[in-house]
Amino acid sequence: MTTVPRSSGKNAIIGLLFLVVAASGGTMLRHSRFNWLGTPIPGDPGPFFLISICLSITGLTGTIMLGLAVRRNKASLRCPVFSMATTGLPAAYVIALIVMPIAMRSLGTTLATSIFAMIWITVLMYRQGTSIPRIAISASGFGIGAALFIQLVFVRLLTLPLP
Amino acid sequence: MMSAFFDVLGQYLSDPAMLGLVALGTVLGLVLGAVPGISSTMALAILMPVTFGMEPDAAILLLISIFMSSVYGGSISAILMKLPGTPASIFTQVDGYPMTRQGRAGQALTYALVASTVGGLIGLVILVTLAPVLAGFARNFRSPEFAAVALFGIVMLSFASNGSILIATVVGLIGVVLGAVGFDSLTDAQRLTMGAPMLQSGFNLIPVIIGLFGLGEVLQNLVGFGRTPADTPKIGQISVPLRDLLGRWKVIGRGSLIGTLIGAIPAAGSAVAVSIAYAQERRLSKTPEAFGTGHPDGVVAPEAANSASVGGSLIPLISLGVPGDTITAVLMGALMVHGLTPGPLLFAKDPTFVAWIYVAVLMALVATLVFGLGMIRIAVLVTRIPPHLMYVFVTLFCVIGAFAIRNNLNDIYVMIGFGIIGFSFAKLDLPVTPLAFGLILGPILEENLRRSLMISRGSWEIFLQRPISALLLLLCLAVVVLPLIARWKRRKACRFRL
Repeated sequence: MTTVPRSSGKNAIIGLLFLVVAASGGTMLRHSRFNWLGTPIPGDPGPFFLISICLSITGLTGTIMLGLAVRRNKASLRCPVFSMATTGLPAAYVIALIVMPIAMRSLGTTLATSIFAMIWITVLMYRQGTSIPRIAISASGFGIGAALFIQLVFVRLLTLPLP
Repeated sequence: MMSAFFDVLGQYLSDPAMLGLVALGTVLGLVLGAVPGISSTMALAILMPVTFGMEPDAAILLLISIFMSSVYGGSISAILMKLPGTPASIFTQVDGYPMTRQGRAGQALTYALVASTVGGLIGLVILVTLAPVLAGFARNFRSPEFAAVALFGIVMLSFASNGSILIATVVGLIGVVLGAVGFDSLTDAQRLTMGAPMLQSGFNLIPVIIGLFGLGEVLQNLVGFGRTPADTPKIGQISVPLRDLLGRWKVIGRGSLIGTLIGAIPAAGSAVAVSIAYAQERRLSKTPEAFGTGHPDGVVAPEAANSASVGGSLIPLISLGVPGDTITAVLMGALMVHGLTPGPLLFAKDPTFVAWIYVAVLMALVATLVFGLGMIRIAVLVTRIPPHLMYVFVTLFCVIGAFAIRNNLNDIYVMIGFGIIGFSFAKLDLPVTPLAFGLILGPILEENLRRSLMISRGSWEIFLQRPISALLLLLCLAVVVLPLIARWKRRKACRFRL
């Protein structure tokens, strides 16, 4: 088994992530506790017991990691893992996906998925340096193919009630 | 049990629909496994929704066929392009790719296929022999033992993950927290929902798995998306002399045994099994210096271990209800969708279900051999499927798969959310598998922990009074504490030397 050493910057981000998870989880847990009107069963540590332990360990680990990362090397805390260059395309892809359910509701699944496929085939092929006519043929072909596939397999064969 | 096995086998062999499903699943698994960037887990996760409308036996057959064949499929791109299709094919490329460079790609693929089939069969035999014994033993398990097994599974997975055990354990605990979202089964308390109706029934496992392992991997592949390698490898001669194959029976046997045993340890996984099998074979070889330059044993040992680990990983799944690795965790999720919950009572309650799994593994192995041999010549074409088409196709499957589980558009957002988590974790070198394990094992751990404490009226001694739970808790403690002590000692020794 190989162990990959992490940079101080990554450790700091992980520590911060754990702290955010613990803090937001703690806030949600307080809300749940406040709204619970039931009575505990004898012996049962309660419905919030395990969650509290898990969030406490997460928060404690996050604090220690962040503290150690800051103490060890303040200069290397900048971490380029989430720079625009590395996450720009995935971020745009996620945004398009978030719009997808709305498009599915308004345009129908077949049309929405077909448009999504055409746009993204165009973007990805353009990034590969493919010529425009080839992109147009591939994107429209795949878009129509995807629409036909979804209609035949998911709607007709599997009878899924897609919007 | 054996009569159920032969009944199911006869029934499947005489049913053209079932044979067609095996063929379809095998071809899909081979193709998807061979495409770089699509792991066996991802293949299984994105194709799972296709089985929603099927009968459970047909669904199991299709999913296991995809699972088994994608294991070998992952080796195709590893051998031909030095791009492992699955993490477990990493060691196959070490000697497989040099064989391709020497014009022996066909032989490397044949070695891999035969070793994979024999390894899978040995894994299946050990599965059939050991699973009922372990299940019989586990039939005496009560809540404290189940709680300890679930905790052991989470801790072992953290131990098997690359990097810090502590960080992997914390990720597993975050998974446990996510698994607790929604109504509590014992008190009906709403937990971590903030009153949002969408969260009241908790996170459904399928969108979570599709997001983490499907969309998450697509997003990772989009980073630095560019040109694909243009060189087309030559297949060369396919046939391998029978004497040469038979002469490697010891290598196949050792690889298969290592694969099955490591695979049977909850969370150890096939990647660990292949690395041990490869290292062991190199150590035992008369020509260790030839490893890495295109030695057939360097392909045979990890392939046998890889395929055998499937049978091994199914042992804890079937007998204890604890998945052996990530892919069996996805498989468990799929079985639960079809109303089938693996566990120790399964052999007594529903032996036919166990027979479905055994027969599906056997048929998938044979089908992989048949279709794999037929596909060697066209394997190059599979690795040439343009990645942009594959990523968009997989994404559409992820979206429709997430929706199809409950016909709910909100599940698409859950899938996207977990896709972002999977991507972010990969960027931070955080293991994503403990999160999925925590989500699956968390509810088992919590329910049994609280039931145990209710039985003992709040006394924690119940976990120490029962020998198996005490032993498992001791092992959990050892797994977490021993590496920390070793690290502390190393540091102390370094300081002393200075």
